[in-house]
Amino acid sequence: MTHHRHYANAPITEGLIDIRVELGPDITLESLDVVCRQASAEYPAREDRTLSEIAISPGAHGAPSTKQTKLGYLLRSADGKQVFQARLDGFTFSRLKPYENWTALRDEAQRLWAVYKEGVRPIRVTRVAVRYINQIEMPLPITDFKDYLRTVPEISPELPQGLSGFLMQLQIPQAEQDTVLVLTEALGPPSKPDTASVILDIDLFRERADYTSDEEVWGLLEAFRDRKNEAFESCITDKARQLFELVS
Amino acid sequence: MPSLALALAVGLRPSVAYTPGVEAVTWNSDEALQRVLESQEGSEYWRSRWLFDQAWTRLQELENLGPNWDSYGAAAPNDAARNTAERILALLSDLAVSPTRVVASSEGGVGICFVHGDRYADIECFNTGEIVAARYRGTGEPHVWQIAPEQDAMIAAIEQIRAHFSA
Repeated sequence: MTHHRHYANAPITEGLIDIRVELGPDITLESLDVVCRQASAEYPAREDRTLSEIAISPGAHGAPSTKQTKLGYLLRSADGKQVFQARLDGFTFSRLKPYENWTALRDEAQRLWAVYKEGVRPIRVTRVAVRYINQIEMPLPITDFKDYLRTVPEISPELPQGLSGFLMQLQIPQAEQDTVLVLTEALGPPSKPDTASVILDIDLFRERADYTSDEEVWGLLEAFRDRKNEAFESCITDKARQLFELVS
Repeated sequence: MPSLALALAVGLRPSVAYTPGVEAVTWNSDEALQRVLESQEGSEYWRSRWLFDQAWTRLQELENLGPNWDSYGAAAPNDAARNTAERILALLSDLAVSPTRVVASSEGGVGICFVHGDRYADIECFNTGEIVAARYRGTGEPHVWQIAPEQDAMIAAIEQIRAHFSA
């Protein structure tokens, strides 16, 4: 069994579970409306979830054209800390800070997944993902990001080393077929004065269309949670762990 | 959509994935980009950050408006209005209540608007220093109230707006 480190001040700003599905041709936004009504007691605030597509034609003199397609709905808990998306392409459940623990995230996601499934009866699951977004606040001044992070942009020593912003994304295929770890790092807006903030976004997903049961899907999500933790621990130093106040 | 902006910003066009010491694995670049776009879907953090980035950018742009910007004699937002709007945007960010848009007010000031379905709310920061909020649903009667310029009052107004969209 994987030992999970616990931090008193974990930097998690969002934890989410995402399951993409293929739905039957008879499933429409009205079907999702029924799902939303079933969840409305705990998730009373509702917004449309749309996909915007921008078309830019080479050499065109006109402005780019934008097309918006309604994908489904986004529902929020009354305190705004939990977000449930019911869409025509899948389901997402997010917990925003303050993050509680994996068990609470998973259990609520499973409950809502059951509501979603009953309403839209997916033909198959096509993609599953666990994603954690961390906001790491480092006290200024910072001599080197490597004091806190082991996965960072490397600037040639012949260039100035100061950074006013960065955005880096790494797509790392995993040993298991069709599984990818996407690491996104970016300088973020600090939430406290005299700190620099780095966003460490760890997204682990697998695209497959042959899941045979819910047990297989949720078993995989549990495994992804372990793998996500390993990725997080491998990206930080002991100095960062001191910021998060390692408990066990 | 933030996902496209993010992908383009990092210039993602991978054609080959490398594992050191192992033969290269060919990856279709379009598929790689699609994976990036899909991986951006679903995150409330990135979605909210994009909305706030838009709001802050728009607030900065309002500095460039001149008098009669709407051709009906509206005054441009002044420093007082923009500073108040800044304070409120910062509180909205802390409280995780994302604005839909930031606009110049035809009555002279800055409007921070929230729109979801048939529910609407806004906070107007006037050039006079006054702050007024409004909320309504559909064709219903708007509820309008003044907000004192203190932080507690602003937070209370934001929570009222959150509750309006949760009702």
